[in-house]
Formats: sequence, structure tokens, C-alpha cells
Amino acid sequence: MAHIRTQIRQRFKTVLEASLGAGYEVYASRKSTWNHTAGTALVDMRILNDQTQAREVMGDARARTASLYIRVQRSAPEDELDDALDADDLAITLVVEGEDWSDLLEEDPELMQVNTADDAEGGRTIGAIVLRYDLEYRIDKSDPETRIP
Amino acid sequence: MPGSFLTDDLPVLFASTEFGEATATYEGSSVMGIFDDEDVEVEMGEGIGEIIAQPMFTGRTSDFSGIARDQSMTVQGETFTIKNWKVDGTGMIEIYLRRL
Repeated sequence: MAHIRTQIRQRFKTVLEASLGAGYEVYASRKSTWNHTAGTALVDMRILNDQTQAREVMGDARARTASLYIRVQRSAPEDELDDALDADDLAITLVVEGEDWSDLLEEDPELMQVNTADDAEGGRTIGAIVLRYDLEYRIDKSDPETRIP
Repeated sequence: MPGSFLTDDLPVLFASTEFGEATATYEGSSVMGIFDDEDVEVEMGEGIGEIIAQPMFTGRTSDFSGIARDQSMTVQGETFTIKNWKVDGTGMIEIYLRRL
């Protein structure tokens, strides 16, 4: 077993990898500087702001919420880049909505925020879209590897 | 106005027997100049840093008097479009290219 956050990230990777298919490279953790590959979208993710929201009185159960940031980065001609990033958003949204998360999470992941970035310094314009999902899971505070149903 | 020796020397500098490209074209016409395809590191606030080549052509300003964004250049058998450019005021121009 591993920390529930690791299990969540691994599950997202597995689900996204299976559904997005060729043209996407999916990683269950954040990536740092890499060498550009035309025609390949890089998908990486990280969890931030993991907080205890509710404590069980006289017990060790904890409801926790965290934000999962899924980032898709690709190159495209500048007049096609935003359309491509929107298509990435759509593809990921459909994958996440189509999955049953009840064995890991209290509720389905909720898409809370979308941001984009771009840079045209190189020979191809590069853009990224970042999807922030809020997640809720429940654990015993002494056992962060096991989800409490 | 740059001294004539500056512009007079450019054909020598850009000759294919020195540093220049033998078969570069701009909008279908042959031009002289030096091609670079150096990697740059691109940093985006929300994105991952990427290392990507920035193709660039250094030539004579006089060869590119009608230069405009999205015009076509061919260098080393590869076709590019013009992204932007910098004129140095002494007869030389640096043209930043976009890969198709």
C-alpha cells in the first residue's frame, strides 16, 4: 500500500492513460524541464492543499480535501493552440466523469478551476492547460494508506 | 548610415563558402545568410519548462525589404514561416522562424 494521495494520483494516471491513448504521455507526478517532442502532449499532476476538514469527535477518522492539479502541455500553431488545449480539457473531463471513484473518494472529483499558460520563444508555440480538481477522501489519522468507507 | 565597408563585407561573411547557407530562399527568392537552430529553455508560469530549438536566420536587411509575419522561408530543405525579426540598423536582420 501507499499513501492515499499516491493511490489517487496513480489511479488518475491509469484512467487517463487508458482513455487518452496515443499522443499523450501521462505521469502520476510532476515533471520538470523536458526536451520538447512535437506531436506529444505531456500530462502530469500533483496534489496541493491537502487539509483536514472534519474531525470525528473522540475518534480518529478524518475527512480531508485536497486539490489535484492536472496539467496538459503541448505545442501547436498559435492559431490552433487554444482549441487544442480546450480539446485536452474536454478529453480529460470526459474521462474523469466516466470513472467510478467511489472506492477511493467520498464524492466524484469536482473541476474547480482552469488556467492556461503559453510561450512562443521557441520554434513552436507551447501552451499548457491546468485543471484543478477538488477531491475528498476519508482516512483514519493513524493510517493514511487506507480509505475509510 | 553605416559605413559602406559594413555592407560591402556582408556578402563575404554570408557566402556559402564561409558561414552562409547555400540554398536559403525567402518568398521563393534566394537570399544569403547564416542559419542557427539553437535550443532555448522556455519557462511558463503554470507550465513545465521545455527545451526547444529556436530556428533563426541572420541576413542582409536589403534582401528582406518587404518582410512580414507568416511569410515563407526555406533553409536546409525545411520550410518555415516568419515569426518576428530584429533589424540591427547596420544592414543586418535577425529573423526568428516558426516550424511548420
